[in-house]
Amino acid sequence: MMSGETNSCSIPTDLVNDILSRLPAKSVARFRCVSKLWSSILLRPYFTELFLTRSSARPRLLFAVEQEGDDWCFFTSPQPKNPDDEELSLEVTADCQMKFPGGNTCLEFCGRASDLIYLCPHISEHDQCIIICKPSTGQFTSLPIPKECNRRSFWRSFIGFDPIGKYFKVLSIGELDADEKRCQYQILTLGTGNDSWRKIHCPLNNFPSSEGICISGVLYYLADS
Amino acid sequence: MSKSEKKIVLKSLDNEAFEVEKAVALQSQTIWVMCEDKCVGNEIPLENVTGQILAKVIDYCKKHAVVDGDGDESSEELKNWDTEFTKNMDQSTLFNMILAANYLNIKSLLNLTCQAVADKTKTIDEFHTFLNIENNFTPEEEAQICQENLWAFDD
Repeated sequence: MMSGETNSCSIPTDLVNDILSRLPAKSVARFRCVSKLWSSILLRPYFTELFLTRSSARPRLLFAVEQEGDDWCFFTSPQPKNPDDEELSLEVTADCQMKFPGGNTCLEFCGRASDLIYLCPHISEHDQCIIICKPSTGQFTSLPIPKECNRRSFWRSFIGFDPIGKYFKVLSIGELDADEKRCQYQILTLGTGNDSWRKIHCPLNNFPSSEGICISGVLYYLADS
Repeated sequence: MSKSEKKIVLKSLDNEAFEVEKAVALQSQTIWVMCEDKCVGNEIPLENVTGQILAKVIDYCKKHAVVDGDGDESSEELKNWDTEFTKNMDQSTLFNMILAANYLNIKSLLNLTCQAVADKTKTIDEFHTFLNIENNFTPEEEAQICQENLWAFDD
């Protein structure tokens, strides 16, 4: 075959999957518009899994900068192989800028899971909401404040990924009564179309005293019981 | 082992013959299995690969066989060599290299060429040409699917 001609035979689907899993997320989304077949292939869980496995093998550093008026800027850079190198210079790319609804809600960083960033307002008032955003695509969604977590009650929450059900979940722990140290536990599952919190029973009454980390579907945090 | 046994002849689709060291050819799992099963003589016909592509595949295997053997060259140098190797390949050569690497089952070459295509394919048009596919969306369907993936188009 001479160069410049179109390719007459075709590459097996699994090889094309392999090639596409190496592309940036943005290109993958663009290629969904290529044809019906490819649109459906790129939406399959198999491809998502392949893509996530490959992209987690080349981690990037994420920087989030909060500006006035809840304008957030996100930057990323490749993770340096040798962070102690004095000559080290990071090539930082501005990924996106996002403005969240609700005006001056003073959001703070509450955790992350995969490429989702979880932001909660400092103080919870009626008109405020929780924000979950995805800097790689510039998308975000807002969630209601957990039930009964009003201004006076103290609450903390975490985000994690459940690898069995393949859902992102948010756990919120609210201190209902400061004197009795009675806490309430609520879960919200993302991506189900149902934005409501459901209460769960926790056999050990505890209130978190640290940030949390979710590893293989298990959430770890320090707590006062 | 006599000298002739160390060499192997690879014959391309267009009947071009390449005599190579066995160690070079055996990086291909397909050839390795053929030799292991003793189902071929000293000459192996490769009916899916043209001489032009096979020459490049052999270049790659020679480079990697030497490095694996004596370890003189650092992995950094080898990486640079790999980058240069695919840098000036046009799309159709890369396409055929991927098919050859897949057929001959040379994992590292397949990895390298797939990555090279991923790095070079940026626009939808390039993707269309590379995969030789027709856009079978109606204009309405295309507008809708682009709307659903709008974030990907705002540069």
